Order: sequence, then C-alpha cells, then structure tokens
Amino acid sequence: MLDVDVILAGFGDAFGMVNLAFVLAGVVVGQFVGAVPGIGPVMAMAIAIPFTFVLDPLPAISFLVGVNKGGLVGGAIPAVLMNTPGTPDAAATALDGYPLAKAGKPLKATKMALYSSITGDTCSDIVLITVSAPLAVLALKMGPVEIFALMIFAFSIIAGLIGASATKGVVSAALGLLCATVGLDPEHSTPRLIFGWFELYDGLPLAAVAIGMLAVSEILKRLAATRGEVRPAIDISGSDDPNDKRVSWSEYWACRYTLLRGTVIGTVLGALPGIGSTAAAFMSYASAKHASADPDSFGKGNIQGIAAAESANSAVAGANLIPLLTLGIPGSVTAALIISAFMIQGIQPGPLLFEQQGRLIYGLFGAMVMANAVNFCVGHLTLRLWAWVALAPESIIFSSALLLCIVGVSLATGGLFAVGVMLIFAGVGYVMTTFGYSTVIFIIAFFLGPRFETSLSQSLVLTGGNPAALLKHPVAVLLFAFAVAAIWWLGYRRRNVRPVAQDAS
Amino acid sequence: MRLVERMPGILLAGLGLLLYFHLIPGQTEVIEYGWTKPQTIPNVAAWIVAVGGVALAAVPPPWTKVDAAQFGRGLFFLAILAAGLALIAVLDFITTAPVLALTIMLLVGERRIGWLAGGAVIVPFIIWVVVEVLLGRNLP
Repeated sequence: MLDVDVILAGFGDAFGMVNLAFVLAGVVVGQFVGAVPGIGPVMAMAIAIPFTFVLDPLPAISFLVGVNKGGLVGGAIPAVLMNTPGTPDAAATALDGYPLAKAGKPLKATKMALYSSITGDTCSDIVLITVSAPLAVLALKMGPVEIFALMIFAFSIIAGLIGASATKGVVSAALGLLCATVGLDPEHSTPRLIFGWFELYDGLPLAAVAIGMLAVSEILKRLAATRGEVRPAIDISGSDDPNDKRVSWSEYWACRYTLLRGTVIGTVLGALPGIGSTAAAFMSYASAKHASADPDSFGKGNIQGIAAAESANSAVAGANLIPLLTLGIPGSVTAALIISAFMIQGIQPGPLLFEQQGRLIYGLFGAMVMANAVNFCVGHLTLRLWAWVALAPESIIFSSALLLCIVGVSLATGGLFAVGVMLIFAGVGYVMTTFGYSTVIFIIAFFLGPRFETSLSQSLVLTGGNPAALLKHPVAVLLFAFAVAAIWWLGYRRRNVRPVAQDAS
Repeated sequence: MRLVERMPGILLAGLGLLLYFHLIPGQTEVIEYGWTKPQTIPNVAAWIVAVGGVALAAVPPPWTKVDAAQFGRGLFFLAILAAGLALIAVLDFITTAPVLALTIMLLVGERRIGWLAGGAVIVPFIIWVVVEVLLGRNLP
C-alpha cells in the first residue's frame, strides 16, 4: 500500500511551476497539431519523444500527456468548421458539429466540443487514479506464466479488433515481434539478425521505428494524395445573437445523461486494449441517437451529438493508461508511445511501477488532472486561433514535420544510422497501411517483444517445458483459451460483419 | 478470386519461408542449451508470417483497391527523403534542410512565395535555434 506521503509528494511535484509549464506547452502543441488535419497527436508525440530525452521523467511524460489531451480537443475544430476531422476520432463530432456551424453557430459547436471533451477526460482520469493502484497489486500476484498468457491474449484482442482482418493483424504482430528480436538475444547474448551492422547490437532504435512507421509513413501517404489544390477556406458566417456564441449552463446540463453515457462508454472501451477512441466516439454517438426522444435531429446540428462523440473519445485517453500502468501492456499506440518515453528515461512500466516509482506515478496523475484544467483554459482562449491555423497548407506542415522527424531521431540516437532505419520503416509502414496491415499492432508487438520473449523463457523454466504443468496455472490456461476464442470469433466476425474498430496510426 | 488479391498472401508466405530457411539460420548462432534458443522467437514469427500468408492467399479478405500511381508517388517521396539523408551525410543538416523542404513543397504543388520561404528558411532556422542554441545539442 502506498504511503500518503508519496501520493502527496507526487501531486506536489505535478503542481509545481516547471511541470505546469511543460503541461501547458504540451497542451498548446497538442491543440495545434490536432487542429491541423493530417498530423494528429500520435504523430506529434512520436516526433516529440526524442526531444523529451533531455528532460526529467515527470515533465517529459507530462508534456506528452498534454500533447495527447490537447490533440483530442484540437481535432474537433476542423471537424466542426470544415467537416474535416483533425483526428479520426473527431469524425463523429463532425456529424452534428459541422451542420451546427453551418447554421451560424460555429462557436457554440466548438465550445460544446471543448466542454464535452474536458468532462469525459476528467472523469476517466478519476477512474484511472482510483482503480490503477489496486489493479497493480492484483497484477503483482501474476507470475511469468500468467504474464505470458496475458500477452498472448492482448495480442489476440488487438489483432482481432484493429484493422480489417484478424489474419492480417496476427501477421502484423508477428512482423513486429520479429523486428523486436534484432540485436542481442536476452538469454544467451548472441547477436541476431544484425546483418553485420554493429549499430544494431542494441536492437532497432525505438524512436526510429516508431517515428518511421507512425509519422513518416503517414506523411508519405498524405503527400502521395496531394495534387497541389489549395485547401478550401472556412466558409461559415456566425450569427450575431450572443446566445449562439456560447453554451449556457442549461444547455450543458441538458446533455448530462449523454455526457455520462459517453464517458462510461469511453472509459470502458479505453481500458480494453485495441479498441480506440474512434470506435468509442461512434458507439457513443449511436447510443445517444438511439436514446434520444428526437433521433431524426441527429446529423442536423444537435448539440447532444457533439456531446456524445467528444465525451467518449476523450474519456478513452485516461482509461488507456490503465493496462499500461498496471500490467505494462499498451492497449493503444498512444500508450505504446508513452511506454517508449518511460523506457527512454530508464523506467520500465508495469505493476512494480507503483512500488518503485510511486511518486512519479502520482505526479503523472496530478499532471493529467492539471492538463484537463489547462486544456479547458487554453481551448477557451484559442479556439479562433486554431481555426486560423487549420488553414495552413499541407506543403509547409508536412515538410516541417519531416525535418523534425529527421532531427528528432538523430538527436535521440546520436547519429544518422537511425535516420536510415526510420526511412526503411517508413517504407515498411507505408506498404503495410496501403495493403491494409495495421502498423499499430506492429508497434505494440515491437514494444512488447523483449518482455514477451523473457516471460516465455521464464515460463518454460517454471513448467519444465511440460504442457501439463500449465494446469497448475489455471489463470494462464483461461487466458490462452480466451485468446483462441478471440482470434476465432473476431476472425469470424471480420468475414461476416463490418469491422467495428479502426484505430488511428 | 483474382490472382492480384492473393498476391499479398503469396508474397507473405514466401517471406516467411525465406526467413525460416535462409535468413534466420544465417543470422543467428546455434546454441544447444536453454529452453529458448536464439532462433526460437524469430522462427515462431516466421512461421506465423508464412501460415498467415497462406491463409490470406487461400481466403483473401475484401480487396482494397490500390491506386498504383498514388502508391508510386508515395515511394517517390520516400526516395526524395533518402536522397536528402544522403546529402545530409555528405554536407550537413543546415545546408540540406532548406533544399529538402523546398523540393518537397514544390513537388506537392506549393507556389506561393510566402509559404515557400516559411518552409525552406524560417522552419529550418527555428529548428537550428531550438536544437543548437536552446538545447545545446548538435544538428547532424
């Protein structure tokens, strides 16, 4: 059980001026990249991670959390004003946000998106703070066999839910696992798959693989689709009625059940690996429409539609960290990037984190709560500014992002070799996404690979290589069974039912 | 089902077999002791890729039409980046970055002088200020 002193010290660290500055910087960057279609907080986090190497762990992670939370707010702005979501999870917001803006109420729409986002995010952070410590205690009772089985189960769920095909998901996971074996073998310390490059003794550089697959490959896709057209200007004129420029308390209160429903959906789905904020947003939207007394008004500027989508997609953010902090297993690409930030700082995420780095964890919780408040204040002040930023041409956005990727990777690894690796994985990621293979699963498998191999080795030692010995580990047997069932059921559903979740890369 | 829809699966199956029979044996050491050998996880992954490839070739998922011209355009931009990296290795980042940024912006179709100047001059300058002046690190 953690000392109250540790918890208070953590929160004290979080609310210091230095940390506040980094949270503020992260939120501003996040809202900026969220507002510009084509970048998104995932790409911004991937690019920013190498730059956080020079920071202390808490400001570094707080900055990245701020980027993520700010991106969730920023993504709604072009969705509402241009019907072009800045992030995929804002696509549901556009369904009612854009019609409401076209009706002369753009500020009402963007403000409702902001308030709903903050509400969902704050509630899920509270859930994270209250359940993660007890869950971590439970997780510590799991041995290597259970951990190995849990990873198999997590892979099966993620592979089945993300992307268009469970088989493609499994193949992506296998490729990620294969790339994770490059370097020294953890058991015998012999070099594997380094092809004579001594720079690969420590494995493929984390930053290079993540940035290459998540950022550069996405930029390549966007560059390939450009044809030199000028982005259409925002063609929305606002109403002169002051009530159309604000969200009154009564309007917000009238959405309370929708907000609560969206928050619950987002929190539950966020805690499960592989589902993602986009699915949560659409599920909440559909649920709100179904429960509404006037479902036909949805899609025509109903403020409840905005509340449903934004509360759900933002509630995913906090809950995503539950499997990460308690089990060390990332359930989304955002969580995987936060793992890489921990690892760059020399910290291994997992259930032991609460014992070994309790002050850091509670500092992170404090930073998350603070980020919500900062998100609200910054969003309120800068809505009009981000609307202008969203008009920046893709040419400068992407060329700048590519330069930052090159600089970031070279700084993180101390040379240009990793930049070459980044470009190779950019090509791999580009080919994968073109043919429908998920880079998100690849990245998660790549991050988990070393731990997966270690837990397999330990499991074999504990069981003596005897499958019958697994019967002494009923939890592991259950998880293996769930994994098989998940692959079959999700694979069967993919053949017969339209895919539910498409997570963003 | 057309052959083109099975081709990704066939290629994956080939990749898996290439890994298992050629690349992994050539790039790992043979160790006799221990439950897991250096080849264990790579071989497992290779088999999953091969079997997955066979499954995808046998029962292809719904085919996503690929615009060949657009795909090639993306690879072209990747080649531009590779050329930029080679130039950075020979010269340095500060000299290469404006050229690389300008090339990309012109290829995308940008012709407005203001934005071109912003991307090719101001952005590399800001990167230089942040990295070398503020962070005290060296650009490549």
